[in-house]
Amino acid sequence: MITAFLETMKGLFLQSGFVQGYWGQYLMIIVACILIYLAIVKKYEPLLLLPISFGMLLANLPLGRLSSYDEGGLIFYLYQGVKLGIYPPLIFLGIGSMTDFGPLIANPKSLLLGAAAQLGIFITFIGAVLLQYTFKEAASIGIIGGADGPTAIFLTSKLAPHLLGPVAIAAYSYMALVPIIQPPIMRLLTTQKEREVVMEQLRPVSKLEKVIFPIFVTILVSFLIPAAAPLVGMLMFGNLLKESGVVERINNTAKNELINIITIFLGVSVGATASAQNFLNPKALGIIVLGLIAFSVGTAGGVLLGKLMYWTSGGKVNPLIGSAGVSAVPMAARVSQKVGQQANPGNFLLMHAMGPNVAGVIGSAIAAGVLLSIFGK
Amino acid sequence: MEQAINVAFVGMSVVFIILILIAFLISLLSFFIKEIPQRWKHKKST
Repeated sequence: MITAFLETMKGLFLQSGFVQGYWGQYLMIIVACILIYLAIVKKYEPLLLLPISFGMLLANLPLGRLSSYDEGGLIFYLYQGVKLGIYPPLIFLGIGSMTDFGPLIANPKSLLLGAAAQLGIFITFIGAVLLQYTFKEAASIGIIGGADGPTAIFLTSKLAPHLLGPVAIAAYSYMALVPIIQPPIMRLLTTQKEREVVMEQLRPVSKLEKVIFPIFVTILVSFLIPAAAPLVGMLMFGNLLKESGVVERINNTAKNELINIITIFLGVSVGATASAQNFLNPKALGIIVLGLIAFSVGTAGGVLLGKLMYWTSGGKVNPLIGSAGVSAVPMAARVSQKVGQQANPGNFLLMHAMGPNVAGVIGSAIAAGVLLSIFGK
Repeated sequence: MEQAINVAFVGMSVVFIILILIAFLISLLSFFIKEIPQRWKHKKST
């Protein structure tokens, strides 16, 4: 009887994940646990990082068959919303319903900072082509520099679906790590005097302006770059729900339940694309490195244009708001505020940084539309 | 490589042009929204 018991236990052990797993899965489980730690303890974008890192953990459980590519499982079906490009516009709807474009309307020049921060996308595109990625792959990698997860997923699902996992992980991880990545670049490119600049208060924006803005931007951008219409259209639709003030129930759903549900689906299924066999290869690891470069160059582009605006305005613009031109709403704007306040405790840059921040969302969606119209044929 | 540089240059330029256009038109729109009611009021009072 004892022999039978031992045989059964041995059989169970041999069939367990401890024996069936391999080093790559264990390594990815450790990475997932580090990201879970950062989300819970350090509170780095926990809304995104926690679902992504737990999805990563699930995908790497030996014999679990819980990755987004394992047909038939729950996560496989959730992943179809990513693959078919359904979740990103829905996330944009929710973001639009939460976003106040007032600071942007009050200071339209901040749109320039949102444009400059897209530099990372195109510089990284060139870098990726140099490293022998195809044009479509390079475009998908470059878009990480837009610091906009939904946009990165949208573009990659159209141009290079096989890279969706690494691109999405890189985009969301770096978005979560904005408070670590951006401040050294911001300090490196600005002087103490520039960081101390206190900006004038923004003018109040009328309701009429706020209502016309989303309709106007949707028409203009969709006519000029039709490929950007799904993202910009849904972003502006969400914003119109908010600003019109006549559909409070729908607006509440869009900014609460809808975006929360989609964030769970998107986060877990994107995290679950990072199985060891998909992730631990030179091409995927290259994307992680290039993504960091894209993010850093985007931040630098925004800050450098901010410096130019500082000089041309006679020192009225604090260059730190430029870094918020990479999307990552509102984290990047909070970083501008924090770094500005470290230089001058009386400095309140948050509202000034929100202008470039929301401009970055529009800018990265336009950049994705441009790349899609060039390579999407 | 040259094609990649061209794409990057064109892409960045298009992003800048569209956002400058939006900025310009927003400024114009704000101007009219602020100015027209004021001029209308002024005209009515005179």
